Order: sequence, then structure tokens, then C-alpha cells
Amino acid sequence: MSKRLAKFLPVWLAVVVVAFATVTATAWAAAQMAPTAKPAKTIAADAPFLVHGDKTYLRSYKGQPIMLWQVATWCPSCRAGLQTLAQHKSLIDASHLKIIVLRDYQNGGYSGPDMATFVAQSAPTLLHDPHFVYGEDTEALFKLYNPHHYVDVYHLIGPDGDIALISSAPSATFDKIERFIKAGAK
Amino acid sequence: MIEAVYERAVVVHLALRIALGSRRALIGTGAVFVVVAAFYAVLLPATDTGGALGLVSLRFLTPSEFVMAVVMGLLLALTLALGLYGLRHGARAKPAGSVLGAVVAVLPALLCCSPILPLTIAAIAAILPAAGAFGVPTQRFIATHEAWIYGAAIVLMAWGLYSNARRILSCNVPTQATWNVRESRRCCEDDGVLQVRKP
Repeated sequence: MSKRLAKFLPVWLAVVVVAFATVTATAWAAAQMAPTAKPAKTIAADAPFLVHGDKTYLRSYKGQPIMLWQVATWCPSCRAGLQTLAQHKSLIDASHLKIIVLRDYQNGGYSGPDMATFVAQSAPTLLHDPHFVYGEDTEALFKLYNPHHYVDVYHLIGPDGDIALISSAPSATFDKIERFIKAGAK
Repeated sequence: MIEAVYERAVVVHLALRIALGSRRALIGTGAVFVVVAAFYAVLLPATDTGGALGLVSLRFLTPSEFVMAVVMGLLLALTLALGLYGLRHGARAKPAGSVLGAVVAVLPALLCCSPILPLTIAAIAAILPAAGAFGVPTQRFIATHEAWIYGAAIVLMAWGLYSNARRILSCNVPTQATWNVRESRRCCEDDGVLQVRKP
């Protein structure tokens, strides 16, 4: 190895490490956000959440397709996700899909804006859309549906209560939601 | 303060005139700039896509993110040009500032809202349960301090550019009479002593 190459070795190593780390992390994230291989029938467990402070149960939505989406109101991808859903409002409104948007339990330990303010700021056209339900996670639901504490994760649940898909960031994965809608949510 | 920034800008300008003296260096640096700027243009909006990169993130590119991508691409491409020039002339490259800046600029897009951090923390927490408490607060910190993190990344990249420019100049005395650069004899072996002052 030439002396010059040896002198420049730290630079090459740094470039290779940065590039490798970025590509690996990106690929890993992409794999995590890809549609999960659908396991043998997984029935969505019942759990409570709060709407306007009142306790509501997931079982009360049985018989219709649900998108159960857990967000943090300080999360940029959650804001972008709401905006993406607003762009596809007509498709959603023409379907039977009910989108339950819940603020993570204790919003990840950070006060942040409440759900109404968050929606009003991000996608005001969705604030009074009857296909959307806004509320707060309870600890029980958070433990059941978000054990890894993702800040932006959703479950697509069929009318029979079968979990069809778990994914993240509707802003990047709306095509999966659209497929779910077209597959039977209409 | 302004004078210090001005003097550093002049150091960078002089070093770039030396390092980009050939057509080949200009074309190479231009190509690197395009590649790096394109990379950051895809990467920076990934905070809105939960870390998903590609055309999907490019759809969310805002004008301010585009400007940042151009600035980062420019800083890294010019630093690389200076580093390569220094290598050819026996100077020791010190890429720490630029590499650190490049890494810091990647953090918000990849860690803010993607599953990377929660899964990593969960894996660590299996061995060290106390680590479990750091996942969401770290993501929250990154999400709410995004602008500061990008600012720090750009400052680090600029510092890396200046450091490399300083090394180039410590091995080359410019011919312009308007600036007086004192060269250290051992500039290429050690850090070199460089003094730039107004005439």
C-alpha cells in the first residue's frame, strides 16, 4: 500500500462506514415498513380508547373495516400522513373504512398539541369527516397495539376483526391502504 | 466576528482556486456535488415518510430542504476536492468535521419517526432494561430540534471545508500580493501554521 493511500485511509474508511451505515439503516427501515407477511389469521384484540374523554372499545367497530392509527402530535411523518389522507379524502369517503386516529399513550411523554389542534393544523378538512374518529390511546391499547413504542404505526383490520396489515407512515404507504380499501372496504 | 468569518471565507476561496485549478477537478467536483445534493434531496424529506427513501420522499421535498440539500452537497463536494488535492500533494486529510456533519444530517430523517430507533432500543433493552426509557424521548428530541440539528450539520461541514482549505494553503503560498500567507516548513507533516491577515 502506497504511503499516500495509507494517509488517506481514514477518509476512505469514514466514507465507506457512513455509506454502509446509511444504506443498512435505510434498508432495515424499509423492511420494517414493508407490509408484514400476513400471519395465520390474527384477530384484533379488543381494547379501550378515549374519544372526547369517554371510553370506547374497538369491538364497537366490528363489522366494518378499520384503520387503527397511533400517532404522536410532535411527529412530522404523522402530520404528513394526515395530509396524505386528506388528499385521498374522496376515496376514503366513498368507502366504508373507519379511520381511528389515536394519540400515543401520554403522547410519548411530551405534552405537545392535543388531537383536535393537531388535525386542525395539519388537515382541517378531515376534522369533521365522519370516516375519522380522533381520540387518545389508553395504556392497555398502547401495550397491545404498539409494544415497540413506534411513533407512527397503523393496523388495517378487516370487518371480521382480522388484522390484514401492520405498517407505518401512511404518507409513504398509502398505496397499501388504497389496496385494502379496494379489496373490500368499499 | 464578521471579520473572522470573512478571513475564513478568503482562506477557503484561495484554497479552492488552487484545488479546482484544472478542468478535471472542476468536472469531478461538479459530479460529486450533483450526486451528494441529490442524495440529501431524497434523504431530508424522509422525516415526513417515516424514513422511507426514494421517489416517495422526494414528493415531500420543500424549498427549504432543497436549499439545505444544495448547501450540504456543495460543502461536501468542495471538501472532497480539497481533500483529494491535499492527498496528491502529501497533505494529511482530516475529514472528521465533514464526516460528522454528514452523519448528523442523516439522523433526523432516519431516526425521527421510523422504526429504526424503537427496534434498536428494544434490542438493547433486552440486555439493559434501563435503555428502554430512551427511545421515544430521543425521537421526540430529534423531531422537535430538527432545524438545530441540520444547522449543526452544516456548521460541521463548513468547519471541515475550512480545515481542509487551511491545510491546502499551508502547503501552497498564493501568488496574489493582496494576502500574506506564512508557510510552515513542516506543514504537510504537522497541522501547519497559517496566518492570513489583511495587507
